[in-house]
Amino acid sequence: MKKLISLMAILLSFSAIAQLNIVAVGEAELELSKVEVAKPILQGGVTGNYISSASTIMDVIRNDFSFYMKKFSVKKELSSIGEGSLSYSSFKTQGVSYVIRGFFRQDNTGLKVKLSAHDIGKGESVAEREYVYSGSNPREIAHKFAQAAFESITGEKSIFNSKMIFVSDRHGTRKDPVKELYMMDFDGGNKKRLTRHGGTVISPAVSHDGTKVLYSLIESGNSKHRNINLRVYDLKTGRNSLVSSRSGLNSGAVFMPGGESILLTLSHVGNAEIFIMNLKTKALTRLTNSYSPDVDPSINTNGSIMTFLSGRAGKPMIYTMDMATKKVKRISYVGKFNATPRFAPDGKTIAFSSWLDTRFDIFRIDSDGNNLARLTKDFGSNEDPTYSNDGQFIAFSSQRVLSRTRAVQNIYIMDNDGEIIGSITENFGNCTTPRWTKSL
Amino acid sequence: MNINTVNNKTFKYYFSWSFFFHLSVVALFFLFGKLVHDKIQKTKDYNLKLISASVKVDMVAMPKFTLKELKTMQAPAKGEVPVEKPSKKAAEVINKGDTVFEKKVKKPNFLDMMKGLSKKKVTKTKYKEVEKKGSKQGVGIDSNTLKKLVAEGNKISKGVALSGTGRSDQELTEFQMYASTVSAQVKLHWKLPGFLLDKDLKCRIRIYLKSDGSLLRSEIFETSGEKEFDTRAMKAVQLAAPFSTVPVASKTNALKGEIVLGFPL
Repeated sequence: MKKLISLMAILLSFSAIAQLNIVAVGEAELELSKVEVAKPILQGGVTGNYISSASTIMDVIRNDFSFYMKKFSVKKELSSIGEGSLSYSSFKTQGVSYVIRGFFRQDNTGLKVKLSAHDIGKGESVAEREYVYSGSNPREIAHKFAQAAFESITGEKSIFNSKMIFVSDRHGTRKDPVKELYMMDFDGGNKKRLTRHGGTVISPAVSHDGTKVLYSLIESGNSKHRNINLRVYDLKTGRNSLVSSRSGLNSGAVFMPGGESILLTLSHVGNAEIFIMNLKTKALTRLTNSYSPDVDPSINTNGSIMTFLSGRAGKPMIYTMDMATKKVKRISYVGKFNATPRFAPDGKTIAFSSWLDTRFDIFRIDSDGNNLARLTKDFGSNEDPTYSNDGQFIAFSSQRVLSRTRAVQNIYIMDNDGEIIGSITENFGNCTTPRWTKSL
Repeated sequence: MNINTVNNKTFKYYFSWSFFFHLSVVALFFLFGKLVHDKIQKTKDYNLKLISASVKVDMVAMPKFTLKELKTMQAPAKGEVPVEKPSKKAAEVINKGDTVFEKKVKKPNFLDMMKGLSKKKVTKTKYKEVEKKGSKQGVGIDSNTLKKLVAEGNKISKGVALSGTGRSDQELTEFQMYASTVSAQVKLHWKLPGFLLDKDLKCRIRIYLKSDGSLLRSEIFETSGEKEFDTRAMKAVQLAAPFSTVPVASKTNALKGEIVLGFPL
């Protein structure tokens, strides 16, 4: 009897526990954190160009945060916030999550800049930095601080310190086309010319540490022996040197992790194939061996897997190669003309352009061949995607036809789901082949 | 002459016989051939069905729709599903109470089960079809949205009670239905900033309700490990309160804190 009672008791207590009803609330709705950036607070007498530099700094910070549209909703214009202590409660009632302020004080060494980011919910400042601005590059300070603030808010690295390499034809004419290498901040600021070859620069690539740029050069002139040669540009010294000038193609090169060797396409064997070249010894290792051309290698950050384009299926299709086993796997099975497969830094997705309905558009595919997704549409002809260092954004060049004889190409940024953020080059010639630095 | 006639006779005789014989052989042959052909066709069809049922339909063209467009397409479907289901169920319960009084002891449970089963199947196939259509059209979705879509497709009713389907549901459904209205109310206030949404966190909150639906107490039942996430979930509960009045039969259940809200599951 006792046993029976205890059994009943156990059963009862069991049923009491089991009666808990777990109800799913479901996925949360995305709530964008509201960010406000204050107008520069000038202390003492700030004069001359420093005044405009101060507002440039605040503007650039505001603009930086507005790139992350999935995380922040940034107020369009700078808000006027006083220099006294921040009233967290009033911001809270307005639903603001973060406020960024900047104090500027001029002395004989330059402009002292004190920037701070405040978490309204926590009621404290989460990032504070001081800089001395000497009058050369206000955007650099802004990007540095924006990165620091972004990291303390989200715990992740941002794109704010990254740069972009691209090719522009702004110094060429129709008869004498000149395409040179340029560099700029990720947001289009600080454009700087790197090369002065007077020829045509194609397919640049930045090293993983961001110190060197590989590019191919087609020299000008009508010589019979015009060749596509591979060169390397040192961003620190500003010098460039020849890497490879075998007959035929010497192009499509990218750095391997570590920067000691490169992946490149050579056609001296009769047909374009992908090789590894050691930059010091110039020793070659052949990677692909096929009767059809293999071009456009791209490698993930840790160097374990390479993606490339091959015509072995009859049409240009995307393949991957496991760098350890050299095993080749076909990734794409559709597309009339696929081009420029580029790995995301983590190597999980590949962005590429493909010909569809009379123009190129950007697509994305997982590196195992699943989840093919279209990213651009009705947005000109889009080519040459390149992932940002955090994998959240893709830069690409987009062509608009203006008239029968004129078209313009500019570089645009979108997030990795195809939400277009905007153009970062305007009136700078035809800007093509953007390459995003992966670490800076 | 004599021989001739005999021959003639036998020729006619044999000819007719042989004619009919061959005809029947041919007919038999055709008949048999037809039978065999049908049989082969049948197994072929069966195999084809088997294959088409078990083989994933792959894309054969580049996707026409962008990811952005796909997302906007999915949005309305999500909203519609939960609204319809509960009302149907409620209507059914009332009908049974009215008409089937004597049979109650024997059949209702079984009937319910059968109805429930048939219902489940209907909704399931519906959503699977939708999914297939998408993949045939060349829809490419990233793994996260795909996961969500699949989850949506497998959803039977709004109040996804994780523990509840195996029991005799008669009295539980009422309470569960109430619980699902609570979760719907909380969902309206359930928002996360981007960097928390990406992290794929989970927490559960147990709530104790008074009979008028006001919140007596809420506690973290399972923590996500991230304080910010927990407090935001808690905030959603507090903002959603007070809830609708608790049905009389479920009063004690609600008071004892038998509702656990899962964020997101």
